Amino acid sequence: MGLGTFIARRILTFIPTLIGVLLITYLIAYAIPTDPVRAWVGEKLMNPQTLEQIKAKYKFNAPWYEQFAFLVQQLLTGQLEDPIRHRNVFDEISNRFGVTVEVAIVGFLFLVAIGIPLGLLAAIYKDTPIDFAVRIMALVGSSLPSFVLYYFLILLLFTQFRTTYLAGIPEPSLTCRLSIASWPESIPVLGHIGAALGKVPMFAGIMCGEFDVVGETFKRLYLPGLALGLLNGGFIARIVRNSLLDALSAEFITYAKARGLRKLSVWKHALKNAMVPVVTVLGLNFGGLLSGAIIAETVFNIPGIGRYMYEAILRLNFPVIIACTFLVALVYVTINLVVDILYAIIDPRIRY
Amino acid sequence: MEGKLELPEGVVLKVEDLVVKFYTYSGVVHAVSKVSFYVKEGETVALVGETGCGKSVTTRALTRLIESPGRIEEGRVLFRRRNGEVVDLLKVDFETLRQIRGNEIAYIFQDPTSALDPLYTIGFHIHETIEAHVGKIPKKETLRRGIELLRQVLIPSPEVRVKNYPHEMSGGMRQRSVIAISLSNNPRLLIADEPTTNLDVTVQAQILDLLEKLQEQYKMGMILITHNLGIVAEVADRVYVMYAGKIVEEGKTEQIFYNPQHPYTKLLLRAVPDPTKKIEKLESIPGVIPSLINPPPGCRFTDRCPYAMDKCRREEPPLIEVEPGHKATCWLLVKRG
Repeated sequence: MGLGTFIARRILTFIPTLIGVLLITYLIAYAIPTDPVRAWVGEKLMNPQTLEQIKAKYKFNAPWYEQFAFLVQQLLTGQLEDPIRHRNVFDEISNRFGVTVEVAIVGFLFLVAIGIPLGLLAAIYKDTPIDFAVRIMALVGSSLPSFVLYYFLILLLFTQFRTTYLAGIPEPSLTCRLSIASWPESIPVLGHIGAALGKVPMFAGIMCGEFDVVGETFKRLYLPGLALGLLNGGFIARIVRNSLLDALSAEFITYAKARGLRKLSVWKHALKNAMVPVVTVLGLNFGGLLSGAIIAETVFNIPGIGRYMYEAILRLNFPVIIACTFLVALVYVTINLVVDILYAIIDPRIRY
Repeated sequence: MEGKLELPEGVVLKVEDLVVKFYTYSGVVHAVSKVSFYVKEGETVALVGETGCGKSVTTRALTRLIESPGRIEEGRVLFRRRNGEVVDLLKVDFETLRQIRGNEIAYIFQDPTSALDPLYTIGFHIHETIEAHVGKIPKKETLRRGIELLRQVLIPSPEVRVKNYPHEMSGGMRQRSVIAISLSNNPRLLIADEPTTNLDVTVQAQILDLLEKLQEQYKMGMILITHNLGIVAEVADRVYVMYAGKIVEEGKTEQIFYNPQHPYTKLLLRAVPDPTKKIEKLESIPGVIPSLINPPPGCRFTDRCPYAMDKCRREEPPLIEVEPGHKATCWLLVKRG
């Protein structure tokens, strides 16, 4: 079976997964014994007439499956409306998701830059103070309430040293954004992909040649990125350390030495074998970052997807909850697919 | 290095008083205690003994393949290189050692499944084994050599198999691949750790034939580790019997088989079933190998020996030469002498 068939088959399995995720989310939301319409409308505008109107619009008087079918249909046709902001949910999501993607990229870079070298060091200097320090870091990273670290970093690098700022997100010029938005009309398929990527301000900047946007983005987002990297870096380092030590103690490494291979070649065998578990954990972490780091977005004042989701949950905003859940599920299945493809490239035993 | 090292004519490897210990949490394991032996060019020397008696550790120590917590504590391993120079493998610098490993001294590892890197093809294993010793070489050339090697070890359709990953092969084929990889550089000394355990009898015989042929062709010495005494009788010139980290008896194959001296060798030979007779009960040696953490001061076989005396427990028996080239360590032999 070729790679193409494998990907096609995997994409088909996305469909039941996504439907399942939507259904479960919806049922949980539906089971909450409250009146969401009241939560949407707010005290001032509340009168029986409007309430009935909204109820009819979102089919709250119909059985649950009709409601669900209505939401899914609106979702898939891209017409889902945010009943609080009275805007198309996808407009809001695409702007916010672009920012989340930026945070995820910066955070992921820090994660890799912190986790992998530390893991290698811990493996090479096994059972020394370096190894011990990495262990402590992993422990602290996973048990420390994240906001403690966030506020500490803000205190140090913003309040004290002013190396960054905490408002707004750098964007390319208006002409740049308008030109990218017009691509789908002039270029058939690639135009759509380009426009979608252009929702991420940093990418748009690159596509228009306004590279200073990239620099600005890093200046604005390096603090949350560093924080997220520090928080999970210890854990990644532990995974790298353990899988490298496993690989190094394997019999094929002794056999490689017995065959007189140079040190570099022996390390190549060990590192490649150590990569499989590391790729998995990195993939999951990237997925986590793409689903929005709610606390980080709140503390660092980033208008990302996490905060949107959080607000939607607070106000029982079903359409937004459904749309965001759909997005997160989509992110995860896609990342899983990418991880699986990477596996198959690294390890010939996993051939789809 | 002080003084020129020498080896008797025709000897390729001489091990003197090798001591290997493992420093574990539960104590110091005396895995190999003062083991001495030699191998001549073109000769097959068998190392026999029960599982865990230190056969594999001994051979791995020869090229310093012992990993922490193991340590080579004492001894000399004299090896005559291709260019005639004699070196002590326990003292040479790492780069010289690396050049000898896989090139002049090659290993066939016991378990082919774990010895092969699952992420690389057999062809790549052969390629890197050659490249490590001759320098950069086009893959095409090593591929040709790889196919030839696989054909030598009787792998069917070697042109296809050379591109296979280990998991795409059967256990027997993997074993033969490991043999092929080890032979990549026509070693002067081959250390074969149970090379034919995974093979059926007909292939086993063919592989042993092949190794014998290579020995003649390249004057390759071979250390054969096995507990299959049938194979020993068939291919070995000389035999060393190991028990609990020590060599208890050594001699020519006929001497060991027809005139065993050490009680352990006798019991070991008796444990081999005779296919021509109906067997009521399989013979075994009662008891287990003693713990090698703080081993008893005397003979290590005392607890399982039917002839054990008080002296055996207290004092280590000396090495007694019973006939030319045939030696054993047992107090019974001293009394007789």
